[in-house]
Amino acid sequence: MKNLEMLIERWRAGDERAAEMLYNQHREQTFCLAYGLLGNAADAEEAAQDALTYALLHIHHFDERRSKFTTWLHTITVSKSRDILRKRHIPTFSLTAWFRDRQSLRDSSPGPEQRAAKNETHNAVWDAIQDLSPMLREAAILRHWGNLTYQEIAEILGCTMKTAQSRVRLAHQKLARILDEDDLQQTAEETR
Amino acid sequence: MKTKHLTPDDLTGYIYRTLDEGRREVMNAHLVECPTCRVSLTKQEMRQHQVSNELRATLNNAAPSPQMNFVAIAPRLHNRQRKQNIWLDKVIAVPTTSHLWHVSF
Repeated sequence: MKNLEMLIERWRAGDERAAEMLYNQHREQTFCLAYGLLGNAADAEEAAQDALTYALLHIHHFDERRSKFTTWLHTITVSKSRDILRKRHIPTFSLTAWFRDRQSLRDSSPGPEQRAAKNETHNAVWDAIQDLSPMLREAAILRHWGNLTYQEIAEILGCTMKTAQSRVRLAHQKLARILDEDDLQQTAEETR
Repeated sequence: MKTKHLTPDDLTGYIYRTLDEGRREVMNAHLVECPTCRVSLTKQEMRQHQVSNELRATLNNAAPSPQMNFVAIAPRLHNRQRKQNIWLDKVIAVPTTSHLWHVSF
Protein backbone atom coordinates (compact mmCIF):
# COMPACT_ATOMS: atom_id res chain seq x y z
CA MET A 1 0.00 0.00 0.00
CA LYS A 2 2.84 2.33 0.91
CA ASN A 3 4.46 1.40 -2.39
CA LEU A 4 1.27 2.32 -4.27
CA GLU A 5 0.99 5.69 -2.51
CA MET A 6 4.62 6.40 -3.27
CA LEU A 7 4.16 5.57 -6.97
CA ILE A 8 1.11 7.84 -7.17
CA GLU A 9 3.05 10.70 -5.55
CA ARG A 10 6.02 10.17 -7.84
CA TRP A 11 3.82 10.18 -10.94
CA ARG A 12 2.04 13.30 -9.73
CA ALA A 13 5.46 14.91 -9.53
CA GLY A 14 6.08 13.89 -13.16
CA ASP A 15 8.19 10.73 -12.81
CA GLU A 16 7.22 8.64 -15.84
CA ARG A 17 8.93 5.53 -14.49
CA ALA A 18 6.38 5.58 -11.64
CA ALA A 19 3.55 5.83 -14.22
CA GLU A 20 4.93 2.74 -15.96
CA MET A 21 5.08 0.82 -12.69
CA LEU A 22 1.52 1.85 -11.83
CA TYR A 23 0.45 0.72 -15.30
CA ASN A 24 2.19 -2.66 -14.98
CA GLN A 25 0.81 -3.30 -11.50
CA HIS A 26 -2.79 -2.81 -12.69
CA ARG A 27 -2.60 -3.97 -16.32
CA GLU A 28 -3.87 -7.55 -15.89
CA GLN A 29 -6.52 -6.75 -13.30
CA THR A 30 -7.95 -3.96 -15.47
CA PHE A 31 -7.96 -6.22 -18.51
CA CYS A 32 -9.72 -9.04 -16.58
CA LEU A 33 -12.48 -6.72 -15.41
CA ALA A 34 -13.02 -5.33 -18.92
CA TYR A 35 -12.94 -8.86 -20.36
CA GLY A 36 -15.64 -9.95 -17.94
CA LEU A 37 -17.78 -6.95 -18.84
CA LEU A 38 -17.32 -7.07 -22.61
CA GLY A 39 -16.84 -10.79 -23.28
CA ASN A 40 -14.07 -10.51 -25.88
CA ALA A 41 -10.36 -9.81 -25.64
CA ALA A 42 -10.05 -7.13 -28.36
CA ASP A 43 -12.73 -4.90 -26.82
CA ALA A 44 -11.36 -5.61 -23.34
CA GLU A 45 -7.87 -4.46 -24.32
CA GLU A 46 -9.24 -1.26 -25.80
CA ALA A 47 -11.31 -0.52 -22.68
CA ALA A 48 -8.42 -1.39 -20.36
CA GLN A 49 -5.95 0.81 -22.27
CA ASP A 50 -8.45 3.69 -22.26
CA ALA A 51 -9.07 3.23 -18.52
CA LEU A 52 -5.38 3.08 -17.59
CA THR A 53 -4.57 6.07 -19.80
CA TYR A 54 -7.43 8.08 -18.30
CA ALA A 55 -6.40 7.15 -14.75
CA LEU A 56 -2.78 8.16 -15.34
CA LEU A 57 -3.75 11.39 -17.10
CA HIS A 58 -6.16 12.34 -14.32
CA ILE A 59 -4.11 11.13 -11.37
CA HIS A 60 -4.55 14.57 -9.73
CA HIS A 61 -8.30 13.87 -9.51
CA PHE A 62 -7.77 10.73 -7.46
CA ASP A 63 -8.51 11.40 -3.79
CA GLU A 64 -7.10 8.69 -1.54
CA ARG A 65 -9.25 9.94 1.37
CA ARG A 66 -12.42 9.11 -0.57
CA SER A 67 -11.63 5.72 -2.13
CA LYS A 68 -9.03 3.06 -2.77
CA PHE A 69 -7.02 3.38 -5.98
CA THR A 70 -8.37 0.06 -7.31
CA THR A 71 -11.97 1.15 -6.65
CA TRP A 72 -11.31 4.39 -8.55
CA LEU A 73 -9.66 2.46 -11.41
CA HIS A 74 -12.54 -0.07 -11.51
CA THR A 75 -15.00 2.86 -11.78
CA ILE A 76 -13.10 4.20 -14.79
CA THR A 77 -12.87 0.70 -16.35
CA VAL A 78 -16.64 0.17 -16.01
CA SER A 79 -17.22 3.57 -17.58
CA LYS A 80 -14.84 2.91 -20.51
CA SER A 81 -16.43 -0.53 -21.05
CA ARG A 82 -19.86 1.09 -21.18
CA ASP A 83 -18.51 3.55 -23.78
CA ILE A 84 -17.36 0.66 -25.96
CA LEU A 85 -20.72 -1.11 -25.65
CA ARG A 86 -22.46 2.10 -26.74
CA LYS A 87 -19.97 2.94 -29.50
CA ARG A 88 -20.00 -0.48 -31.13
CA HIS A 89 -23.75 -1.00 -30.73
CA ILE A 90 -23.14 -4.49 -29.39
CA PRO A 91 -26.59 -6.09 -29.54
CA THR A 92 -28.22 -6.51 -26.16
CA PHE A 93 -30.03 -9.71 -27.11
CA SER A 94 -28.15 -12.86 -26.30
CA LEU A 95 -26.15 -14.21 -29.21
CA THR A 96 -25.20 -17.37 -27.32
CA ALA A 97 -28.84 -18.14 -26.50
CA TRP A 98 -29.84 -17.42 -30.10
CA PHE A 99 -27.08 -19.70 -31.40
CA ARG A 100 -28.00 -22.44 -28.93
CA ASP A 101 -31.69 -22.29 -29.94
CA ARG A 102 -30.76 -22.34 -33.60
CA GLN A 103 -28.49 -25.33 -33.14
CA SER A 104 -31.11 -27.30 -31.24
CA LEU A 105 -33.68 -26.57 -33.96
CA ARG A 106 -31.31 -27.62 -36.73
CA ASP A 107 -29.88 -30.71 -35.11
CA SER A 108 -31.25 -32.23 -31.97
CA SER A 109 -28.44 -34.78 -31.57
CA PRO A 110 -25.25 -33.11 -30.41
CA GLY A 111 -21.90 -33.86 -32.03
CA PRO A 112 -18.73 -34.67 -30.07
CA GLU A 113 -17.62 -31.01 -29.94
CA GLN A 114 -20.92 -29.88 -28.51
CA ARG A 115 -20.82 -32.62 -25.92
CA ALA A 116 -17.27 -31.68 -24.96
CA ALA A 117 -18.26 -28.04 -24.63
CA LYS A 118 -21.22 -28.98 -22.49
CA ASN A 119 -18.97 -30.84 -20.12
CA GLU A 120 -16.93 -27.73 -19.38
CA THR A 121 -18.86 -26.05 -16.62
CA HIS A 122 -16.78 -22.92 -16.83
CA ASN A 123 -17.99 -22.41 -20.38
CA ALA A 124 -21.56 -22.78 -19.19
CA VAL A 125 -21.02 -20.14 -16.49
CA TRP A 126 -19.20 -17.86 -18.94
CA ASP A 127 -22.01 -18.19 -21.50
CA ALA A 128 -24.58 -17.53 -18.80
CA ILE A 129 -22.72 -14.39 -17.68
CA GLN A 130 -22.70 -13.13 -21.28
CA ASP A 131 -26.47 -13.66 -21.41
CA LEU A 132 -27.03 -11.14 -18.60
CA SER A 133 -27.91 -7.52 -19.33
CA PRO A 134 -24.84 -5.22 -19.02
CA MET A 135 -26.20 -3.79 -15.76
CA LEU A 136 -26.54 -7.20 -14.08
CA ARG A 137 -23.28 -8.45 -15.59
CA GLU A 138 -21.39 -5.54 -14.01
CA ALA A 139 -22.80 -6.37 -10.58
CA ALA A 140 -22.12 -10.11 -10.95
CA ILE A 141 -18.52 -9.63 -12.12
CA LEU A 142 -17.67 -7.18 -9.35
CA ARG A 143 -19.18 -9.44 -6.71
CA HIS A 144 -17.96 -12.86 -7.87
CA TRP A 145 -14.63 -12.01 -9.48
CA GLY A 146 -13.74 -8.84 -7.60
CA ASN A 147 -15.11 -10.12 -4.28
CA LEU A 148 -16.07 -6.52 -3.49
CA THR A 149 -18.40 -5.29 -0.77
CA TYR A 150 -21.82 -3.91 -1.72
CA GLN A 151 -20.57 -0.46 -0.71
CA GLU A 152 -17.67 -0.72 -3.16
CA ILE A 153 -19.93 -2.10 -5.91
CA ALA A 154 -22.35 0.79 -5.35
CA GLU A 155 -19.50 3.30 -5.54
CA ILE A 156 -18.18 1.80 -8.79
CA LEU A 157 -21.58 1.51 -10.47
CA GLY A 158 -22.76 4.92 -9.24
CA CYS A 159 -25.85 3.60 -7.50
CA THR A 160 -27.12 3.10 -3.94
CA MET A 161 -26.06 0.12 -1.86
CA LYS A 162 -29.63 -1.25 -1.98
CA THR A 163 -29.57 -1.12 -5.78
CA ALA A 164 -26.18 -2.86 -5.85
CA GLN A 165 -27.55 -5.63 -3.60
CA SER A 166 -30.65 -5.98 -5.72
CA ARG A 167 -28.59 -6.25 -8.95
CA VAL A 168 -26.36 -8.95 -7.43
CA ARG A 169 -29.44 -10.94 -6.34
CA LEU A 170 -31.18 -10.55 -9.71
CA ALA A 171 -28.00 -11.57 -11.53
CA HIS A 172 -27.77 -14.71 -9.39
CA GLN A 173 -31.41 -15.65 -10.04
CA LYS A 174 -30.98 -15.22 -13.77
CA LEU A 175 -27.68 -17.15 -13.82
CA ALA A 176 -29.20 -19.98 -11.77
CA ARG A 177 -32.15 -20.20 -14.19
CA ILE A 178 -29.86 -20.37 -17.24
CA LEU A 179 -27.58 -22.98 -15.62
CA ASP A 180 -30.59 -25.06 -14.51
CA GLU A 181 -31.87 -25.07 -18.12
CA ASP A 182 -28.41 -26.08 -19.34
CA ASP A 183 -28.31 -28.94 -16.82
CA LEU A 184 -31.77 -30.15 -17.88
CA GLN A 185 -30.77 -30.01 -21.55
CA GLN A 186 -27.58 -31.92 -20.81
CA THR A 187 -29.46 -34.62 -18.87
CA ALA A 188 -31.97 -34.97 -21.70
CA GLU A 189 -29.14 -35.35 -24.22
CA GLU A 190 -27.44 -37.97 -22.11
CA THR A 191 -30.58 -40.08 -21.66
CA ARG A 192 -31.41 -39.92 -25.39
CA MET B 1 -45.88 -23.40 13.15
CA LYS B 2 -46.06 -24.15 9.44
CA THR B 3 -45.07 -21.15 7.27
CA LYS B 4 -44.99 -20.66 3.49
CA HIS B 5 -41.95 -21.84 1.55
CA LEU B 6 -39.15 -19.32 1.02
CA THR B 7 -39.22 -17.39 -2.25
CA PRO B 8 -36.25 -17.17 -4.67
CA ASP B 9 -35.76 -13.57 -3.43
CA ASP B 10 -35.57 -14.82 0.17
CA LEU B 11 -33.05 -17.50 -0.74
CA THR B 12 -30.76 -15.23 -2.74
CA GLY B 13 -31.07 -12.52 -0.07
CA TYR B 14 -30.06 -15.10 2.52
CA ILE B 15 -26.98 -16.42 0.71
CA TYR B 16 -25.81 -12.97 -0.41
CA ARG B 17 -26.39 -11.58 3.10
CA THR B 18 -28.58 -8.69 1.99
CA LEU B 19 -31.42 -9.31 4.47
CA ASP B 20 -31.87 -7.51 7.76
CA GLU B 21 -31.32 -9.49 10.96
CA GLY B 22 -35.06 -9.80 11.72
CA ARG B 23 -35.86 -11.37 8.36
CA ARG B 24 -32.82 -13.66 8.67
CA GLU B 25 -33.99 -14.95 12.03
CA VAL B 26 -37.48 -15.71 10.64
CA MET B 27 -35.84 -17.60 7.79
CA ASN B 28 -33.54 -19.52 10.12
CA ALA B 29 -36.58 -20.66 12.10
CA HIS B 30 -38.34 -21.75 8.90
CA LEU B 31 -35.26 -23.59 7.61
CA VAL B 32 -35.03 -25.66 10.78
CA GLU B 33 -38.44 -27.18 10.15
CA CYS B 34 -38.62 -27.21 6.33
CA PRO B 35 -36.47 -29.78 4.49
CA THR B 36 -37.73 -28.57 1.09
CA CYS B 37 -36.37 -25.06 1.66
CA ARG B 38 -33.14 -26.45 3.08
CA VAL B 39 -32.62 -28.34 -0.19
CA SER B 40 -33.44 -25.20 -2.22
CA LEU B 41 -31.00 -23.17 -0.14
CA THR B 42 -28.20 -25.72 -0.56
CA LYS B 43 -28.83 -25.75 -4.31
CA GLN B 44 -28.59 -21.97 -4.51
CA GLU B 45 -25.42 -21.95 -2.40
CA MET B 46 -23.87 -24.49 -4.75
CA ARG B 47 -24.80 -22.31 -7.73
CA GLN B 48 -23.23 -19.30 -6.01
CA HIS B 49 -19.96 -21.19 -5.47
CA GLN B 50 -20.02 -22.57 -8.99
CA VAL B 51 -20.44 -19.09 -10.49
CA SER B 52 -17.72 -17.57 -8.27
CA ASN B 53 -15.20 -20.35 -8.84
CA GLU B 54 -15.72 -20.76 -12.56
CA LEU B 55 -15.82 -17.04 -13.25
CA ARG B 56 -12.63 -16.45 -11.28
CA ALA B 57 -10.93 -19.35 -13.05
CA THR B 58 -11.94 -18.03 -16.49
CA LEU B 59 -10.98 -14.41 -15.81
CA ASN B 60 -7.78 -15.16 -13.94
CA ASN B 61 -6.65 -17.31 -16.86
CA ALA B 62 -7.36 -14.54 -19.36
CA ALA B 63 -4.33 -12.42 -20.18
CA PRO B 64 -3.93 -9.37 -22.40
CA SER B 65 -1.79 -9.59 -25.52
CA PRO B 66 1.80 -8.23 -25.47
CA GLN B 67 0.54 -5.32 -27.63
CA MET B 68 -1.27 -3.99 -24.58
CA ASN B 69 1.67 -2.30 -22.92
CA PHE B 70 2.83 0.98 -21.45
CA VAL B 71 4.74 2.00 -24.59
CA ALA B 72 1.41 2.10 -26.48
CA ILE B 73 -0.02 4.78 -24.18
CA ALA B 74 3.17 6.67 -23.30
CA PRO B 75 2.85 9.27 -26.14
CA ARG B 76 -0.52 10.39 -24.74
CA LEU B 77 1.07 10.89 -21.33
CA HIS B 78 3.97 12.90 -22.86
CA ASN B 79 1.47 15.25 -24.56
CA ARG B 80 -0.20 15.86 -21.23
CA GLN B 81 3.07 16.67 -19.52
CA ARG B 82 4.10 19.01 -22.32
CA LYS B 83 0.77 20.87 -22.11
CA GLN B 84 1.06 21.09 -18.34
CA ASN B 85 4.56 22.53 -18.59
CA ILE B 86 3.46 25.20 -21.10
CA TRP B 87 0.60 26.16 -18.77
CA LEU B 88 2.90 26.32 -15.77
CA ASP B 89 5.39 28.49 -17.69
CA LYS B 90 2.59 30.97 -18.45
CA VAL B 91 1.42 31.10 -14.84
CA ILE B 92 4.93 31.76 -13.64
CA ALA B 93 5.72 34.22 -16.43
CA VAL B 94 2.69 36.54 -16.04
CA PRO B 95 3.31 37.83 -12.49
CA THR B 96 7.00 38.28 -13.23
CA THR B 97 6.29 40.50 -16.26
CA SER B 98 3.67 42.61 -14.48
CA HIS B 99 6.00 43.00 -11.54
CA LEU B 100 8.72 44.35 -13.83
CA TRP B 101 6.17 46.70 -15.46
CA HIS B 102 5.35 48.26 -12.06
CA VAL B 103 9.00 48.60 -11.18
CA SER B 104 9.83 50.46 -14.39
CA PHE B 105 7.18 53.12 -13.72
